[in-house]
Amino acid sequence: MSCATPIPFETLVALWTGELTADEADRIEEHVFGCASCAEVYAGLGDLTTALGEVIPIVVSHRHRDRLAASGMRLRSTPVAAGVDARATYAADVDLLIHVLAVDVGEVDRVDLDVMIDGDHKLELAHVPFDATRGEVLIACQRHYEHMSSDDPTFVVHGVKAGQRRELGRYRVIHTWR
Amino acid sequence: VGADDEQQLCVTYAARIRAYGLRHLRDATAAQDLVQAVLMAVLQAVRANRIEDPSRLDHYVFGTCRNTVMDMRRGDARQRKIAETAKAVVPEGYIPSFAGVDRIRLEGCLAGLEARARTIVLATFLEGRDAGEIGAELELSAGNVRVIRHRALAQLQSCVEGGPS
Repeated sequence: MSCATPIPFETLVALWTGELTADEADRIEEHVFGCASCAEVYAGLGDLTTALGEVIPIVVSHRHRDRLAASGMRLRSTPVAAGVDARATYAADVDLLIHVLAVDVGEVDRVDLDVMIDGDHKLELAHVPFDATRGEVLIACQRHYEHMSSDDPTFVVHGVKAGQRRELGRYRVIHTWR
Repeated sequence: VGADDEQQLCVTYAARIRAYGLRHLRDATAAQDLVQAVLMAVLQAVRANRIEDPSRLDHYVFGTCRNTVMDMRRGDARQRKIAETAKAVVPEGYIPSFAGVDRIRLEGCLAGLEARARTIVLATFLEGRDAGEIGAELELSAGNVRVIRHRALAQLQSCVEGGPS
């Protein structure tokens, strides 16, 4: 399965991100139909980018939350204040829990969020979506998270302004899974 | 052309047609319909000896694919009917099944990306933002965003296929 003129991976990525002209895209897809090795990468990227478009990340934007609700997902929102344990129940009639972290974001360039479990940093997320006007960061909690840890997570929100990182709050949600 | 050849033709082109459908129709179900409709049209042409140059079968499949997508975009009722009746022409087992990417594994793979790369990937594919916009927010050039993004996609692809995250 060799190809005399393989399409560079970067070019196939550009195809899937819509950054090529219609003529370029057409020329590449015509090549792909006659080339097994390029077709394999092309199809693999198709599956991957399609799946990425359907991912529900840990932190979702308000627009994404609204899109999920509009698609028919049953969401349950839990308000969460800094320093106060909140409780959320994953009942059978819920498809996705949304933890609404109340954050006084102020004027920041970006918001970062750390997920901590058992006191350890499990995940560091940079440039997460937030709504400064509403003072909210939205955590999307999926049902399969139940089996990821025996402990409940703590979310640590940071604001970054002019390169200076400042903790804005710690939020803990205690989950009941049903 | 025997049944084995027909089946091989379907196996060869099904993934390409499906990927073409995913890119142009942005819908997995529509992409699956496209696979059936195109393979049905191609098999009918092969059986009727309507393909003038069999050595350029890939061009024939590509052209059929392009035309069928245009019909589907127009919401052509005839095309929908073709997709529905394709099963009669394309025997069961000719078209391989497509499992797609395991979503939970993908989430794990995303978690394994460096934070900036993850931000770029999600901004691109979840929010539909281009490299220039993302670069402006992250204080990177559009070219840098593209480099980080294609490296991240290569890492994700390897990870979802069973490699390390």
